[in-house]
Amino acid sequence: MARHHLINGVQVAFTAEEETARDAEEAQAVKDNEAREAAKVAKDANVASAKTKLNNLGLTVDEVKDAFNI
Amino acid sequence: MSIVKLNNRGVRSATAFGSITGLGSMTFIKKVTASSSATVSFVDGTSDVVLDNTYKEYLFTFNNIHPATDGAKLSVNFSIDSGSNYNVTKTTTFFRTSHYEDDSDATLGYRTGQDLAQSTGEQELTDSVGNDNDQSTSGYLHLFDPSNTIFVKHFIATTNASHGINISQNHFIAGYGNTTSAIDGVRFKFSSGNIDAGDICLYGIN
Repeated sequence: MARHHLINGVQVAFTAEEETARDAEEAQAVKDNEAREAAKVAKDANVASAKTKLNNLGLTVDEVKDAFNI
Repeated sequence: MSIVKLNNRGVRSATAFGSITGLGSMTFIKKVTASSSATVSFVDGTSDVVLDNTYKEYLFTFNNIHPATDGAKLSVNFSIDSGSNYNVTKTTTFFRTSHYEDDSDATLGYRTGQDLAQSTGEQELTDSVGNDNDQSTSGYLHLFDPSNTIFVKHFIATTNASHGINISQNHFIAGYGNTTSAIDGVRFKFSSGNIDAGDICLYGIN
């Protein structure tokens, strides 16, 4: 469905150029979301790995939490 | 100078009150209701919209802005050419608090990925907003003295959003449009998809 601007409450249809530009913008937004999700997964994995290693060194769960806030 | 103590009897017996003047005013200008709209903008000069030196401060309120696309981010940009282009250079800050519905985590942090340093791009006003039927974002944006041609154009915004994975997120955004040209247009949109529904109101403050 064609997109529209709402300018001061009045609908104005996108031009063909605006449709193309918005398609590209939305495609980039999908890529950005995927990259952000991947970064979050990697960070969560690092935190989990760090917790395991610290536990293996003999630290308790509470000690890890209080000392490293993870 | 005598002190007059006001009590219930005094108020009940009063026959006239003096007037208080010079308190300033907040004037409603325009309400726009989005309906599957790609963008919502306010441009000075048409459809009763005023965005000039009539007021020293403008307030935009967002009420239950609902994205068509899950995880989209609401953003703003400014125009100095009556809406032909939304590309004012901006330097901004962005920090956020988060609290999960299941109480599993609560955070406060500066968001380096959501601020701008001399960028003409969109300034995000939220992180990801969920698009479940009961999810949305609400908040407000203050734009100070947009028609001033000497100073940069400061703005401050606060929003709260329901994230797609059930987090309450409060966003604090501030910055300035680094231009001495008058700003006469303000545009809101999501990073992806339409603004499915929601109201944006504009007020002028003197």
